[in-house]
Order: sequence, then C-alpha cells, then structure tokens
Amino acid sequence: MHNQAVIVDYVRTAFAKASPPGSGKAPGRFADLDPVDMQVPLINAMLRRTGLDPAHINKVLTGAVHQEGTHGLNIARLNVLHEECKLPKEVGGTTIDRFCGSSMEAIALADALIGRNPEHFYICTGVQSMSQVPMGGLNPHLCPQVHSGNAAGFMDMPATAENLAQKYGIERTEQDNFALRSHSLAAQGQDNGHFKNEIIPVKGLDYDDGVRRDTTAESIARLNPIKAAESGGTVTAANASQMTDGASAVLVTSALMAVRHKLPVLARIVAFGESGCAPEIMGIGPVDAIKDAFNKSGLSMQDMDFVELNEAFAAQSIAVLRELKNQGMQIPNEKVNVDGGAIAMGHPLGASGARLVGHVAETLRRENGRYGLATMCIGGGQGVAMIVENPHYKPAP
Amino acid sequence: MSYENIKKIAVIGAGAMGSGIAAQAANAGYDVVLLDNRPTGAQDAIDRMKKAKPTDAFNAGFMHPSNARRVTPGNTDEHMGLIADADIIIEAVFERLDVKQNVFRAIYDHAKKDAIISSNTSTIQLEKLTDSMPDDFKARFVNTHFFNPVRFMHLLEVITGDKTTPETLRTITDFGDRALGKKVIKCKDSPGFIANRIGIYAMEVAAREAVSQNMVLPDIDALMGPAFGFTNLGLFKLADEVGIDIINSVRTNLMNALPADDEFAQIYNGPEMLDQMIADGYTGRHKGKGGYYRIKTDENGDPVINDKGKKVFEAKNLTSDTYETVDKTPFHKFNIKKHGGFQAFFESEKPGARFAWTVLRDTILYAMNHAEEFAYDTQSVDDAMKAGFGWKWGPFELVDQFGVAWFTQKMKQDGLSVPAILEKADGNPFYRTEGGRLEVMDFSGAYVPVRREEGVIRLEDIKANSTPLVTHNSASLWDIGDGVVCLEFHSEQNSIDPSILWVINESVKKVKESNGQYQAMVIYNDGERFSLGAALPLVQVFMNASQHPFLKAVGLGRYIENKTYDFVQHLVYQGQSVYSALKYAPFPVIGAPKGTPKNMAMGGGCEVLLHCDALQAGPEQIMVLPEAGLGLLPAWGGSTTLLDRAFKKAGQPGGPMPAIIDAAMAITQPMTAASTSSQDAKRKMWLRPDDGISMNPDRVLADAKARALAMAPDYAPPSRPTFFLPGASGKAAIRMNVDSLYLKADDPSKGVNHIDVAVVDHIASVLTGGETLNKDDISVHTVAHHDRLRQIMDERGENRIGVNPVIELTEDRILQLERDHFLDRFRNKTTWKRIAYTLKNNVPLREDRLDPAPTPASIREKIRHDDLPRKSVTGAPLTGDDEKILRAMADMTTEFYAQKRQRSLGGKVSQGLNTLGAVKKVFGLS
Repeated sequence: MHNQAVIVDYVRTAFAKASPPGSGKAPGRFADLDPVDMQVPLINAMLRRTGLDPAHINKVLTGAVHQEGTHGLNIARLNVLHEECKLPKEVGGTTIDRFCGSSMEAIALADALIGRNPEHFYICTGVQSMSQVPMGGLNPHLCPQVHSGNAAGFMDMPATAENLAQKYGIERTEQDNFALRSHSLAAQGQDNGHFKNEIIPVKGLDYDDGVRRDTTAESIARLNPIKAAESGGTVTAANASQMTDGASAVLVTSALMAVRHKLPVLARIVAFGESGCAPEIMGIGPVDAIKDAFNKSGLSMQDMDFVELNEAFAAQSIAVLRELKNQGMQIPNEKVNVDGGAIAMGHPLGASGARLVGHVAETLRRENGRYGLATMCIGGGQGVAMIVENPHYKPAP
Repeated sequence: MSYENIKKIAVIGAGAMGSGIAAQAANAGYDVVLLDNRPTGAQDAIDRMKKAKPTDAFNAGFMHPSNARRVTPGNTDEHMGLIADADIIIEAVFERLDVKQNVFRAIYDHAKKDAIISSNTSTIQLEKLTDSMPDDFKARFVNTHFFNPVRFMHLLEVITGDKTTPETLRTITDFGDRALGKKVIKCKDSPGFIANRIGIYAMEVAAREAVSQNMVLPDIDALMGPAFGFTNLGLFKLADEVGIDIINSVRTNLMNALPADDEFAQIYNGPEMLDQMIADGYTGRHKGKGGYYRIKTDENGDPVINDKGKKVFEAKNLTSDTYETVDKTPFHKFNIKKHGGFQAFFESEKPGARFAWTVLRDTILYAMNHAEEFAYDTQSVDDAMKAGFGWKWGPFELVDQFGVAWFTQKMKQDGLSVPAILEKADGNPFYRTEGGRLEVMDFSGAYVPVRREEGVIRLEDIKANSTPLVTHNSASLWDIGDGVVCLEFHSEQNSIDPSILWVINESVKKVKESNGQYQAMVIYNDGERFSLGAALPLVQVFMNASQHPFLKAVGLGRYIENKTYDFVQHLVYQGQSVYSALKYAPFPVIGAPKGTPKNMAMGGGCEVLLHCDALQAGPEQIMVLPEAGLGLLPAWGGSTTLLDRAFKKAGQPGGPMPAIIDAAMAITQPMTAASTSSQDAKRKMWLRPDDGISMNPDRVLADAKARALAMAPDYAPPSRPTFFLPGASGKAAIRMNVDSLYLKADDPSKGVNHIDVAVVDHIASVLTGGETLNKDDISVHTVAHHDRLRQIMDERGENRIGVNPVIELTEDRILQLERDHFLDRFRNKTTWKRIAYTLKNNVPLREDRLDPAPTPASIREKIRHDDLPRKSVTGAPLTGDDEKILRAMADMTTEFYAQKRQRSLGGKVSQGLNTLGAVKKVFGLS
C-alpha cells in the first residue's frame, strides 16, 4: 500500500470569536488578521515539527468559503507567496470551496492525488475570517433560476435547523442541553490539555475564546430564539455554532514517503463519503455521507471509536444522531465530540473540516482508539464524512 | 475667555441635569469632563445615556452614542485636576447652598484663572451662592438654568450677578446659543426665573380649577392644547412627560422661595398629592408606572386590552385616589374657530369656556403682574414660555390673540384689577408691524424693535416686510437678500402637493432667468414639520370617489379609478422632474430643515432634501422614506438618489450588492433607517459628509444662506450619476433574504408579511436596475455600447438583454423604474387599504397573516408589472403640456383645500361629483 494516504501532522490556530461587519460586536482577537496571516504560521509550524524539507511540498490545497475580499485571489497560492512562509515559490496552490466541507474536501482531494502521485506531499489548510467576509459574502447575488428552483429560505441556515427541529420533534431544552454539553466538554478538554498539541499560538492566543466554561442551562435558556418563540422558534445564538475566525492545516503524503522521510504518522485516511440532500434540511447531510463512507470502507458504526460531528446547530446535530439511530447506526454519547464542538469553540467555515479530521485523529492516538469518523453538514444540502485509522492502535491484550 | 477659544467643558455633578449638559457639550463637539461625587457616578451616567433608546428623550442625551467618547468621567475626590484646562465649568450638584459653595471653592482652587464658572441652580439666589467667593471668581460667574432633557429643551435662562463681566455674559450667551443650540434669555435673579414661574403657576391654576369646576384631566388636556397655543399634550400629560417628581420639586422650591402673599403661594395646593403619587411610583412617563395617566391593568398587572385591540388608559381623579378610564372627550381636536374664535368662545356658556378662560386669565395676570420681577422686558417673557414650555404664544402674545381691549374689558367685568402694563397698552396690541419692522411694547408702554440674536435671520421678519417672488396655495418663494431666495412650504403639515411642485418649477425658472440677480436657493420653513411627504389626502379624494357606491352605480367608478392612476402617474413624473430641476439647476440649492425636536422630513419631503446640493440642518432632524409601509416605494427620485449615495459611500465593499443592500435597508426598514438626530442622519446617508449641522434651529436659515453664498461663485451643477447594477441576480439575492425574513416572522405587527414580500420585490427591481433592457430603452437607459447591445439581441433573436454589471445604466433608467413600479404598487388595492388606514390612524397598517401562509413564490406569481410609457426626466423645469397639467393640478389643489376648509359640501355624493369636476378640469387638458 505504498500509495496509501496518511496524515503526518495536524495543527490549527485557536478559534477566536468573530466580529462580522455590521454586527456591532466588539472586534474579535483575530478580526484584523488576514486569513493568510492565520495559515502561514500553521504551515511553518508543521514544517518545523516534522523537520520536512519544504522543497518536498508539491501543493497547498486550501478550503475557504466566500472567496472574495481577503479570501479571494486563490488564497492557497497566496500562502506560498507570503513573505514569512517557508515554502519555496515553486509550490502550487489550489483553493477549494465546498462551504463548510471545504477543508475536509481539501484532504479528500489530497488523498485522491496521493493515489496517483505517491511521492507527493500536500499541505491541506482551511481558513475563514468571518470578521472580514460575513456569512453569505460581501457581495451576494445569485442566479434567479437557482432561487426560484428552491424552497424559500433555502440559504437561511437557522431556518434549516428549525426545519429539522420540527421534523424530529427536538425541543428547545434538548438543544440547550446539547449546547451546555459542548461548552463543558470543551472546557474539560482545555483543562486536560487536549488541544495543546494542535493549537499553534498566533498573536498570543492559544485557546478557543468562545468556550464559556461558566455557562449554565439557565443562561443558555435566557436567549431569545432567532425565529419568534411564539411561532415555534427554538434555535438561538447559544445553541448554534459560533461565528469564529480561525485556520487549520494537515500535512498529507503517502505511507511510502512517511517511511522514507522518517515522518511520524498521525492517521491513515480510510475513506471519504459524500451526499446531497434538500437544501432546507441541509443539516441531515451527514447521515448519507456516513453511509457512503461505510460502504466504501466496509466498516460500520460499531468500528468507530470516536466521532467528530460538526455542531452547526444543536438541533441539526441531534437530528443527525437520531436519524442514525433510526437507521441502526447509533453512536454512543461518550464517543461523540468528546472535547466539545463548534457550539463551544466556533465554526470558521473553511477551517472546520480539517479540524474535525485532525482532532478525531488526535483523540484516537490519545485514547488508543482505532477508527475515527469526522462528519459535517454543508449549507445548500450536502454532507461529507471521513474515516481515519490510528496506525499506533494497540488492541487490548 | 472668548467663545471662539472654548475647547473644553467641565461639568460637576452627573445627575439628570449635569449629565444632560455634558452630553450636549459633547454633541457640540467639545471635550468634556464629567465629575460626580460618587466614585462611578459619571461613568454610570455616560453608560445610561449611551445605551438609551433614541426615543427615550430623558436618557438619550447623546445625538449619537459615539459622542460619549468625548466625555471623560471622573469623581470630585480624585479627579478635580481634570478641570485645570477647562474653559467653562458648569456646576450641577445637589440643590443645597453649602454643597454648592464647597464645589465652588474646589473649582476656584483647580480651574485656570480665566475659566468661566456657572451654576445650574434653579432656586438659590446667585448672590448667596457666591458671597463667600473672591471678586475675580464673581466676575467670571453666571447662572445657567437649563431645562430637562437638556438636549431637547430649547430654553437656557442666564442670570448675571453685579460683578459678572460683560465678556463673561457674552461668552456664555454665544456658547449657549451657537454651540449648545439654546434660546438664551437673560433673566433677573428671582425664584423660578421666567419659564418655571409662569408655567408651574399655570399648572397649579389648572389643577385648582379642575377641582372647583369638576373637570376631568383628559378633557382639560384636550381643551388646553394647540387651540390656545399649548402643546398637544395639554397640561397634565405634559407634566407626566416632564416627570411628576421634577414638577413637584420645582413647585416646592418655588413655594419656599416666594413671599407668602404671592398668588402662587395662595393657590398652592401643598405637596401631598404629588408626594403620594411619587411614593406610589407614579413619577410620570419617563420612568415608573405612569403619572396623572396610566395604562389600565388587570389583577395580574397585565394591560387591559379593549375590543379594538388597544390598551386602555386611565386618568387620575384629582379629588380622590382613584384612576378612571379615559373616555372619548368632547374636546377631541378642539378647534377654536368652530366656536367663533376666542372672544365668542370665552363669552359663551359652552362646556370648557369658563375653565379655559379662568386658567388663561389668571396665568396671564400672574405673568403681567410679576414680569418686571423676573424679566428684563416683555419679549423675554413670551420667548421664555415658547422656548421653555413649547407654548405657541407667550402671555403677551396670547392677549394679542384674544384682543387687548376685549381682554381688558372682560377682566374688569370679572371684577379684577387691571395690571399696569395692560393699562399702558390701552387697547393696543403688544406686537405690531411698523414700517415693515416687528415691534413689541416694553414695560414702559413704548414700542421697541423686536430683539433678534446677532446673525439670526427670521423668515417671519422677511415675510412681514416683503411680497413673495412666486406664490401659490402651498408654497412661496422669498427674497432673503444678497441674491439668495428662500423656498417656503406652507401647506397642511407642509405635505408636498402639485401646488408646491408648481412653485418649485416656477422658482427654478425665476432664479435661472433672473440674470444673476438671484444666485442661490435655500429650502426652509418654520413649520413644526419640514414636510410630511406627498399629499396623500388629495389622492385619497380620487380613490374614495372611485369606490363610491353612487358613482360606481352610475358607471363612473372605473372611469375615476383610471383617472386616479393618470393623476398619480402625472404626479410621480412631475415630482421627479421638478426635484431633478432643483438638483441640476445652474445655481446651488441648499436644503435647510430646521431640525427642531420631532421635526420630520418624510417621504416626498425627505426626497426634496435628497436632491439638494447641500444641506444645512438643525440639530434633531428626522429623515425617513416610509413609503414601503404604505405599500409603495420612494418614486420622486428618492430610491435613485439613495442608491447613488450608497455607491458613493466611503468604505463600501466592492461589487454592486453592498450598496444596493444599504439602499434597500434604508427603504424597506423605515423604522430603523429613520434618523434620530442630524448627527445620526449623517451616518445613515440622509446627510452627506459635507452637509452642515446648526446646533441652534434659529440659526439654520442664516447658516444655510451663508452656505449658499459660499457655493454660488463658480457653481457647477452635479453630473448625472450612472449605475452598474446586477439585474436579476441581485434581485434573486434580495428575494432570498426576504424569504427567510418572511418565514421567520409570524408576528404581523413586526416582521415581513405577505404584502411586504411583494413590495420589496418591486423595490428590489428598481435598485437592481430591472431585469432586462429592450432595444427601445437602450439609447435612453444605457450610456454606451448601444450598437453592440442591439447586435447581441439580433444575434440571439430576442428583443431583450439581461441587465448586468457591465452595462452602464443612466439615472433616467432608475427614475423610469421608480415610476413603473410605483404605479404597479399604487394599482394594487392592498396599497389603497394601507393608505386609507395610515391616513386615519397615523400608523402603518400591518395586515393579518394569511392561513395557510402563501409561499413567497406564490406571492410573486401574482405580482403585476406594467411598463409605463417611456418619458425622460431632463433635469430642466417642466414646460409645455407637462407644465400646463402641473398648473391645472396645482389649482385643483387650491380648490381641494378650500373645500376641505369650508366643509360646506357635506354629503359624500356631492364630494364625489366635485371630484369628478376636478378630474375633468385637470384632464380636460391632456
């Protein structure tokens, strides 16, 4: 299996609360950081940590959503051109937009490319400054036939979560409890140093500042739903993922190259699954994507030791878990998002996919698990899922 | 210390007055230090004002929350050093002599030696305040009596001591007038000064008479409103508005300070009732549970809702502790003219006549008998009541209104002794125009010129002394000297009707053809409202006639309805044309809305300002385009100019959509887009960065004239803007956003409903440039590449091409879209319902939600769009047939108002027939 893709290293910035234009929020810790300024320290850190000669890198694959403003001009290649980047100018760059799935897609693409080019090295990054380019972009306009061909509000993310809450009968309190769980697990994860290996301090920030360790069920319950409660609204800012600025990165190559260059292997990429669904219930996307990954790998949910499910919304996550259970793929609570999720640490759109893959791999290694699953829903009605395997896994004697 | 050198203000005491003064100084652009004796008192006050809702007049001291940055908080224990470089130091601490004296000593120790010091005391004699201070302190000391809320109350009473230097008085007067925007009136050092002395007395008399004549508060407030020159709050609602606690403390202080034989002391009813109200939490509207009036609640404390879905109000019974439900009052919209004028009403036995007479008589008598104690002249008394209590007429002016001889006679009949000043007047009015100059009778009985602050130009003075250059029913053009003309609206609420449009058209021609005699125009009026927008009642006459059963029965309904559309179509084109003529005239046009509190420039009144070359606004101008709430859209160039402004706004991100979204928000969300002050207007595109703000509304006209004169030499009209717009893809993006807002909002009173979805669709069409261009439109609606665009259409075999950001669109294109889509909306009967409801209730109609709610797509399927015949807006005044039609419509307007005034026509049928006559008159021409 010389052309088996492996993840050599995974790093990310801390995720910092964003201050989108016009939101009136106080400037976030990374609000002034160009997305390239967030990624370059990660690329340099991976090169330093692995000791890999930068000349070996073939290409940077970057997931970034809303590729305009500071996210435009093929930001993957801009990483290479940054004056502080250790990569030589010969390294190529391709930017990928699959909304929230962008950087997981970047890893999947690297995986596929390794199959053909086992001697290659790819740096896969994901980035989003939601402070600099807001949800929907700075300059949103779209083909009228796309608008007319879809349900009203098909791009209104909280509304899609509300649709799932209604469809699966998910009460407000259930969502709020899920949010509380996310914050307390993330705080525990911070206390236990579970992010220490992955977070590269940038501008002095070395922890996810969205985590509210002191939050309570009462304070979460106090928020007004985005859609009026009288008309059945349950989704609030507190039980949805936070707007965040941040970047993540992984280094992908083949098992062959890892051995040749004496590189540590964090994880083996087993399979990538994907799916499409109705945009107005986009949050259910992971279910079919997971099935796709299982089909491709021959594995099943019982094989998974840990799962990272992107918490776009509590309602959406609960809906996915419930639908998986309905279809005989129940995930035990203690395996899901063991260090919290996007409700606590935030969801910098382009950066989340690589974080989920990287963090589930970190968790497998730490806890001696074998297989891990990272999955997420995607606005517009898609899902992606990636299965990774811990090469250091030792079966219990 | 001269006015020009003032840079920094210090205020000691962060209570309601101190913090309000500090905020107003910050509003004026000064660095301010605010110190309080509590450690965080000043910071708390700043936070309270910064966070206050703009409608919360008593707390919203800042004209924009960002002005809070100019105020440095501190406390008197640690931070007195901060006043070391302050040029003016205003004391507003607790009303106790020893407390204030301590503060003055601390000020004297820390302040620089030429700083001016003032006290905001309302009760302590100036002499007592400063008697322990050295002379060089007294020389720089004055009393400055502000009113609460400082930002909105126009009056500033200034009192000097024996040692106060003229320079100190001059500086503080200029500072109060020009910087803080106040009407500064010099008063004598006597208890309550002028305004509170008379105003509080009037309230006390009213309370006394209410009990003795058994009148209920809602009746009193309706009666004693605008008919007699009081605000429409009347007397007791005003007290609620000011605050029962404040009123009571002024009453108590007055009582303690005045001699026992003063009439106020004699009728003073004691503090008990108000003390009890305050103890019970009835401190007035700005805080607490209410005051004289409250909202009726059930046993759970929830508001009681009547069968019309409205909250029920209760008013206090002055003779018991109970509150009684407010019923319909017989004095609703009380109009003195309907009762034959003041004299006839007072002489009559009609309900309310004796009450009104007694209260007004006693108040006037009190003012006249004591005026020389507190005022330097008669004019100060009238000016103080107008600026301080919002009266339309001061006591002397009121007597002029009643008739001096009659008033004197009637008093004698009542067996009262006639005040000296009234004897001296000997039946002559207190104010007269002599040789084109306004004069006022002084205490001596001699006429002296009415005093005007230096540099102030008053339109009333000009009008008294000249004839208009152009005039018609609703507007006039005045020569205000130095080659500048002033366009004045004077219709009901200054709403824009064909008469105003005709005057604008004529005025532009007049100035243009004056061979340089006139070089610039100012648009200004003294009305309470700059303009409430297009004269909808006029259009409504047509609408009603077309729906009238009789006219419908005889087959005329449809005919009139169609003529209504013709009428509106003309009106829209005329408005666009004459506003464009203002914009592209070869001379500068300065819009000068006076900016008094609650002064509004709405809809068409806002649009005329949007077309000016520059604005010079007073401090508190409200500007808003509320058309969407009526189911319409701004179509007198408002959408077009806003779109242009949004594109030119500094810091706008690239691409067409950010600007379009800005303009769409301003138009579709009038409640949040409305400016809450002129500084706020600057941040909301209503004012441009270079537009001027005069802090004092009285100076707006003069400042606007100066601005006009500065612009006139070398003036070149602006070039016509062009637009690069996304067309259908931009509209789809707006639809996408509206969809989610519509689906989210289930409360019809808020959020987007099914009618709004349609309205926004039309607005989106205008702002994104329309979906397609056809061959006929290309030459007028696009700037370049005409042949290429036609060629593409030919090659495709289609007579249209999608609007997109590579096609440069003309201003005419957007104006045409405004007209097309306005008429689309106006033809919709849901719009008629909204107009009728709004005219009747003064609030927009929010339709009930439909069940089941229609999908946005099904709402849009029903939208009807028609292209109107293409017409070009040239930027020049209307001529030929267009001008004739405008004139005919203007004359019809005059007739309409005359009929409305007479109300002689009575029955609806004759009204309808009259309308038919008007329709024929107007359209006979076309």
